[in-house]
Amino acid sequence: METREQSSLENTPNPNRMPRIKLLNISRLALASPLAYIIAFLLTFLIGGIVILALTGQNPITAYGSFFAYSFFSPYGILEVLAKSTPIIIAGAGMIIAFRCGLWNLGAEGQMAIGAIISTAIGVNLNLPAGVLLPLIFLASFIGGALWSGISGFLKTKFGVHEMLTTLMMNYVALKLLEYMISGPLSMPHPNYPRSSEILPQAQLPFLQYPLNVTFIIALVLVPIVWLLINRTSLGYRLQAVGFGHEAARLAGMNIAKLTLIVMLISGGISALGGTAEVVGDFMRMERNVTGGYGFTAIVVVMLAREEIIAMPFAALFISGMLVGASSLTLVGIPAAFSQILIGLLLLCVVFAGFIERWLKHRWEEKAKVVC
Amino acid sequence: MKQMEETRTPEIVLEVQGISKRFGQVQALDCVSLAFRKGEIHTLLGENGAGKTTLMNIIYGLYQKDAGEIFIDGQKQEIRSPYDSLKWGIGMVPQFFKLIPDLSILENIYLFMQNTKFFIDRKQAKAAIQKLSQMFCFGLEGKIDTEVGALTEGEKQKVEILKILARGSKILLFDEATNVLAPNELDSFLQVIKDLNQNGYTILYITHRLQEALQISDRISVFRKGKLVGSVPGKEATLNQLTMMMVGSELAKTSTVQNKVKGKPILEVKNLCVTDERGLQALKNISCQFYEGEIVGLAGIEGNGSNYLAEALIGLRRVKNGKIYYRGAEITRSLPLDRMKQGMSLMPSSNALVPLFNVRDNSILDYPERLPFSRHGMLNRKAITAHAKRIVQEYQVQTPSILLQASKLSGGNRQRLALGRKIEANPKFMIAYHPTKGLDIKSQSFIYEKLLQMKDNGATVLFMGTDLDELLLVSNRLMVIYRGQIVATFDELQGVSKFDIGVLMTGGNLCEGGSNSGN
Repeated sequence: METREQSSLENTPNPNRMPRIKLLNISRLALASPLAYIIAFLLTFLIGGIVILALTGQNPITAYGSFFAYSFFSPYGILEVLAKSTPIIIAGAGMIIAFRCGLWNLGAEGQMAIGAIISTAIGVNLNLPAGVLLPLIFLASFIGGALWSGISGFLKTKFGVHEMLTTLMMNYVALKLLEYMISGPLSMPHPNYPRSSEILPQAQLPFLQYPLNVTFIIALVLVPIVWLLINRTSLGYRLQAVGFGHEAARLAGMNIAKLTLIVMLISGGISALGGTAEVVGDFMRMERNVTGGYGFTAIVVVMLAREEIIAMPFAALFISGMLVGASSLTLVGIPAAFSQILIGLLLLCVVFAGFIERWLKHRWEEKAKVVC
Repeated sequence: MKQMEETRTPEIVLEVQGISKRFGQVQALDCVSLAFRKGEIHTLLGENGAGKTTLMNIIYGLYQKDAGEIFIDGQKQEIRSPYDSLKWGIGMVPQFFKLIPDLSILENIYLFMQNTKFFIDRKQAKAAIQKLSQMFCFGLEGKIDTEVGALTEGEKQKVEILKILARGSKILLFDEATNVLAPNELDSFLQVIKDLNQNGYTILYITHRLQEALQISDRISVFRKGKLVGSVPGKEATLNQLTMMMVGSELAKTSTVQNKVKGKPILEVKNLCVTDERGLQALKNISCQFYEGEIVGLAGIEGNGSNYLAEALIGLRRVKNGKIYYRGAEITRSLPLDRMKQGMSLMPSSNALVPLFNVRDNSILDYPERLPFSRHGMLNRKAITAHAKRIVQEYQVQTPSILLQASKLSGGNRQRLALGRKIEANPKFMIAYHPTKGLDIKSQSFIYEKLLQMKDNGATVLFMGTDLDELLLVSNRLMVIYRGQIVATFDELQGVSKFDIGVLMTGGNLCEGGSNSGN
């Protein structure tokens, strides 16, 4: 449902008197959001530039230039950005379902780990034809991730424990479980460092063009599916009703506990596929860094997209561009970790931009009221 | 209002003059003037929404008045926040406690005291609190380091009282203080009020319960619909007189609705018992029967169980004992959604809409999975849009667009949208729980009209409310609920007076005209 549709107010300003931008014939209010975003980006790079200048004495413009030139303007860089965005988009797609239904699933990293464990366990051991094995891997990972986040859902519906806390904590449990698996039950014989054996060849998805894997297409297909689920199905409708109008949903006879649990199951299940994608599309085995922190990055991406499903992949591409560009920063003498600083700054500025947006809208609405 | 003139005596500690307050379209307080004498128990009596709590909140500084003046000890003062009122010695025991459950009694009280020292002087604070507790026989001396979360509601209330006493308040405001108490805690609480009073504290006591008011008050001021009806000395007041002041003119104004021949029975309730969140009995042996084509009024003041009855009938609350039959079949344990599919419906006083959903999406909240609004789990936007447009037009929901967020609708339009949505499902039995609460007259009469239309089409409406004018206006029959029990049923409304019903609603007894029929 388009819950955030911005319309004029019924009892305050007259919609026809709202200042309009003549050329585009849209209400000025519609511009508040992009304007706020532009401010956020400018602010991020301004502050980032000052930090570069102060800490390294480098020219910020050159630094940013090399930063983005590699990520977005070199053929290999672009492929790398797309490849890196794959698990982020999948995890983000899972996470955004929870956010759109008023729940905080911060456990994508752990759910990815569960997905990775299950995919590896099946992919290494079950010698089945690809047509059976691959769907089985994806299905089992989905169920595993769903049950994993279902624990948080259960704790919430049964005991009222906040899901933000439990999903976050469960990340660490899952990551430790992954480490145990690669050094124990799923370890390859005589490894140099903890890792699993390679999954069977028929479980490995092909590359479109190295390093970009077929899993990227899966990620892209997932986004409209999630959008449809939330906006166009009666299930998505009810899930959102519970999330944003708890009491109204209860009075309408909806089963709050059941629907809350469903959100957590679907959300965790999809996030887990991010881990699967890493195993069958990139690593072809399980290692300690197979989840790569993408589950945490996905939180930033969902926030950056303001929980808009369609905007989420673009946010993911941008963030993964910043991650990829980090390596080129070292060429101009800036530590690669600087891109993490920039991502953090960006998130803060986007939150700040939310305030600017509300303030702008409030001001314009007040003005319109005076005109009436 | 006569007291007003003679108020300029030194013993007046607090006086309000010409206080008005408006919330949206509702005039909550209309030019109220009242004086409170030192050392009296002054009860503010009135139904829910009569304005007494609003006045209290203005005196305490939680709300800002639109007009009027406040005098404390004869001096005009501006009260902008509770900080000011506490400074002038006014403290409030709120209806819903503001305590921190993880802190001890001592810590909760200490937080509220005026502390100028940097380090906490536990010993001194403890001694002071224990002394206060002993003085009024609170029995909290031994528990002073207990976490507040482990206390009973009655004990929590005593902590709230200690808070304001420790802060040095001399004028104590009590807002519906007995709502949270179990019946057995009531007497000791009223004794506490009397003890406080004897120690020189001035007490402003808000309640809608007549019995309590009569038991403890030196003076009683009655509010109705934002206006002060009058003040009477507590000793001279009678139940009848107060009831009359609370519900309005004594003239019998009965239903204009003609009783037709009873239709077929549709819903039957047998010995229904329901407990509340704390396990206390909320409904006691409710038995009643409803017929097709009638509107049955249920008169009851909030806190007497009508909300539990509404939720139990629609299946949102577990029934402890007893049975409910709908069209001959037992539904005591069936799910709310199943009951709604069978034609039952609940029209609430608020929270009928998801505030962040737009008007269109809110128009199917009760039946998103039904045809034609969804097919094979996919929503049908066209059907929903048409449905929403029809409701907006037919139920006169004023909105610039069906894409407007529901939170931006006014109260009246929200209820119209909700009612339209409910009626479009073609219910056979509707529970209307305070459906006109807080609405302007136009929206109110629109809702009556629609409910009467439903009745004429053969449906049944159980109309729960407090306002006797509206109950008598729409009902064919009327029941009265008091403390979880149906205390009276009027099958014939001709010749029934508002006054009689008012007495019953507040725990009076018609034959004896004043003694308590409750438990």
